[in-house]
Amino acid sequence: MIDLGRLRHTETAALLMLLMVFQISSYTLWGRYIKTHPVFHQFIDGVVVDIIFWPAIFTIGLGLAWAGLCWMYRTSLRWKNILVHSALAIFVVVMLAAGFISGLFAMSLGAVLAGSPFLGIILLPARMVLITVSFAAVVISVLGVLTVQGFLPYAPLFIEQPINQSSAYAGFYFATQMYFVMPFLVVSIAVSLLFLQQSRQREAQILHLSQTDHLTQLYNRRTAQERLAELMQNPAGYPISVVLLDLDFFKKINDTHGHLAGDQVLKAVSQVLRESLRKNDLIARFGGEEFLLILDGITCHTAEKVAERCRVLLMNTVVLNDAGEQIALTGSFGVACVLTGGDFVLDDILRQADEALYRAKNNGRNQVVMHACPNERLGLTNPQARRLGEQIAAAARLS
Amino acid sequence: MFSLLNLKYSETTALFMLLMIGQLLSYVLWCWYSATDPIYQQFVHVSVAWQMIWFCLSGIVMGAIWLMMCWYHRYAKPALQQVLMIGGMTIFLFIMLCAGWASGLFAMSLGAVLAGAPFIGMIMFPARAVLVTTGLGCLAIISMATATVFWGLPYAPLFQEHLLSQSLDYAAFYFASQFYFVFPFLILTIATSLVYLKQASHREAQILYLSQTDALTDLYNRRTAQELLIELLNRSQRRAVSLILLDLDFFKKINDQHGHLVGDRVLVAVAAVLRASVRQHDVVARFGGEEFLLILDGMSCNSAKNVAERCRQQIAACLVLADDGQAVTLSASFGVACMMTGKQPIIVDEILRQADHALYEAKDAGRNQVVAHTCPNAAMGLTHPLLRRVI
Repeated sequence: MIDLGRLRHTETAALLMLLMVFQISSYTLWGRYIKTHPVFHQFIDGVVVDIIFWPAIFTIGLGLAWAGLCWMYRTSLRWKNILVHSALAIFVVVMLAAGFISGLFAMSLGAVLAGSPFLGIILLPARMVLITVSFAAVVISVLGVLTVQGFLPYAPLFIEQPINQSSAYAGFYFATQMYFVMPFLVVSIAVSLLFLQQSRQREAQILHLSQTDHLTQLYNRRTAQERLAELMQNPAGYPISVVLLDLDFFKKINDTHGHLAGDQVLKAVSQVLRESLRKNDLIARFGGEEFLLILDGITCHTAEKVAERCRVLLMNTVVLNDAGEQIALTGSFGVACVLTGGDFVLDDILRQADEALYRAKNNGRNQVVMHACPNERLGLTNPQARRLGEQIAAAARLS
Repeated sequence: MFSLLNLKYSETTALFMLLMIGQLLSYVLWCWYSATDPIYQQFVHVSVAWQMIWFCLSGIVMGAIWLMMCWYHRYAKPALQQVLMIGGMTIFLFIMLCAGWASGLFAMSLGAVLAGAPFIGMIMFPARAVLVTTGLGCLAIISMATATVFWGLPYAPLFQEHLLSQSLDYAAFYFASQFYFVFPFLILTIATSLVYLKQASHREAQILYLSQTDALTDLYNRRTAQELLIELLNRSQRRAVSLILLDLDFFKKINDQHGHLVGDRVLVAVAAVLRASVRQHDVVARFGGEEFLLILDGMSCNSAKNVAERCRQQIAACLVLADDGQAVTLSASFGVACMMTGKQPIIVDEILRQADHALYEAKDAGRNQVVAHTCPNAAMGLTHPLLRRVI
C-alpha cells in the first residue's frame, strides 16, 4: 500500500498526470458516445467534438509520457522541480481548456476548481498549489471577461437551450455534468480520505512510541507525570493514590545473570503489574528498575492492599535465567495518597511515595510502607464518605 | 493560536455553522442588491429573490441557534456531541441544497461546495459521517434534477434564464454572481485546510521529538540511538565510526545519599557536559539509567579516545550541589569502540558489545577512566597520519 504522506513530489506529479489522463479519457469517451448517437446531435456542436478529438488524444499521450518521466526521474534532484512544476502547469492548462469548452461556470469546473487545491495541498508544497490556483482563477476571470465582451463563445461544445423550457436538453445537460463531476469527486475524496487516515495512523504510532517504554511497553516517566497532573485537576476531594516500587537488588541480578536476564525480569514484572491492576490504573516504568502505579479514585487503604497483592505476586513470579536457574525476585513498595484540592504540588505525592519506599528499603526490603494517610484525618475511611468520594470519581471519569 | 486538531465535535460543528452563516449572509446581500437594483431586476426573479432573503435569514437564525447550542454543550458527553454534529451537518446540507437549487444545481457554485465541503468535513468530522452526508447530497441533487427533467421542477428559479451565449449582459451578471458565490467559500476552505495541515505536521514533529528523546535530559533515547547507529552503519561510504559508552560511577549511592532529585540534577549536568564536548552532528543518547552513549561519525579510535578523555575530565570537574549545599563527587567510566563501515556487514550488537566490554574493563580497573577496545585501525596500520587522512 502506498503511503501518501511519504510520496516524493515527483511521484505525486505522476499521480496527478494519471488523474488528468483519466479525466480526459472519460471526456473523450463521452465525445465518441455523443458522436455515434444522433439523438444528441441537437444539443452538441459536432464540429467542436471533432476538433477537440485529436488534441484530447494528444493530451492523453502527453499525460502518460509525463507520468512516465516523473516516475523514471523520481529520485533525481536535478529534474525534480522542473518535472513537478511542468506537471502542475500541464494539469491546470488542460483542465482549463476542457472547462472552457464545456462551460466555465458549470458545476464541473466548480468541482475541479474546489477539489484540486485540496488534493494539491495534501500532496505538494502549499505555495506551489496556491500559485497554481490563483493562476487558474485569473485565467477563468479573463476568459469570462472575453466571453462577456463577445470575443469568445461560451461553452462552445453545447448548443445552448433554455433549461427551463427544454426538458430534453435539461436531462442531457444534467447527466453530462454528473458524468463529468462524479468520477473526479470520488477519486479526490478517496485520495484525501486515504491520506488523512494514513497520517492519523502514523501520528498514533509515534504517539505510542513517545508515551511508552520500549522494553516493557508500559507508560514512560513523562507520560505518568502528565497523567498525574491531569488527575490533580479533578474536583476537590477526589482521591488519588500512587505506589512506587523498586525491585530489590536488581543491580545484582544484572551482574550475576547478565543484562538480558535483567530485561526478562523487567518484562515479567510489567506483566504481573498489568494483570493485577484495573484497566484505568496507569502503570509506568519510572526509572531503570522503578515502577509507578497511579490508582485513579482509590484511597490509601485500598492502595495499600493493591500494593500488598502486587508484592506477593511479584515474590511468587518465576523468571529463569539462561542456565535454567530461578532468579529471586522481590520488590519494595512505597504508597502515598492525596485528595485533590489541597495545596499539593505535584512533586509532593511522588516525594511522599519515595520516602515511604525508602523506609521500605531500610526496613529490610520486600514490603509495603504507606505514607501517613490524609483520608484518615478527613474521615474518608468512613464508608459513606468513601462512597461519596467514589461517586465524585465516577462523575469525574464521565466528564 | 487555537488548534484545529483538538476541537471537539460540538466545537467543529459550531465552526461549520459559522461558515454557513457567513455564506448565507453573502447570499442575502447578493439577493437584496439584485432585487433592488433596476439594472439587475431583468436577470433575477425579484419575488424569488425576496423569498430567498427570508429563507437565508431563517437559515442564519437556525445556524445561530445551533451554534449556541453547540457552544453551550461543548463539554457534553460524546453521545450528545454526536447528536449535535449530525444535526449540524443535516442543517448545513439542507440549507446549502436549497440555496443551490435556487441558484442552479449545475452551476459552478454548487460544484465548488460539493467538492470543497467534504474535504473540510473530513478534516473535522469522522469520515463515515461525511461520506454519508456527501452521498445524501449527491442523491438529493440527482432527485431534484430528475424532478426538473420529468416533472417540471423549475431550474434555478432565482434567475430569469437567458442563454449565456446570446445575451452578453446576462452572461456578465451571471459570471460575476458565480464568482461572488464561489470565491469566499474557496478561500475560506483552502485557508482552513492549510491551517489544519500545518498544525497537523507541527504536532507530528512535536510528538516525534518526544518519542525520540529522553524527557529528563533531552538527549536521544536508547531506541533512537540504536536506530541512528543502524542507519549510520548501513551507509555505503567507507568511514570510521566510534562509540563511547559511559556509565556514572556509584550513581546508586548518589541517589541514596542525596535523594532522587539530586540524582536527576546530576544526569542533566552530565548530559550538558557531553553535549558540549562533541560536534553538532554527533549523537549523544541516554542509553540506560546512568549510562550514556556517544556515536561519533567519521572519527577514528584515537580521536574518540581523546574525546572520551576530555569528557571524563569535564565530568570529574563538574560541580553539582546537593540540597545541603555539599558538592556531589562525580566521575564516570568510559568504554570506546571503533570500526570501519562499508567493509563487511556490521552487526550493531557487536560494536555495542565491544564498547560495553571496554566499559566493563574500565569499571574493573578502578573506575573514572577510559578504556578502548582493540582498535581495528591500529591493526591495519591506519594510525599513520597520511593513511588516516585518506579515509
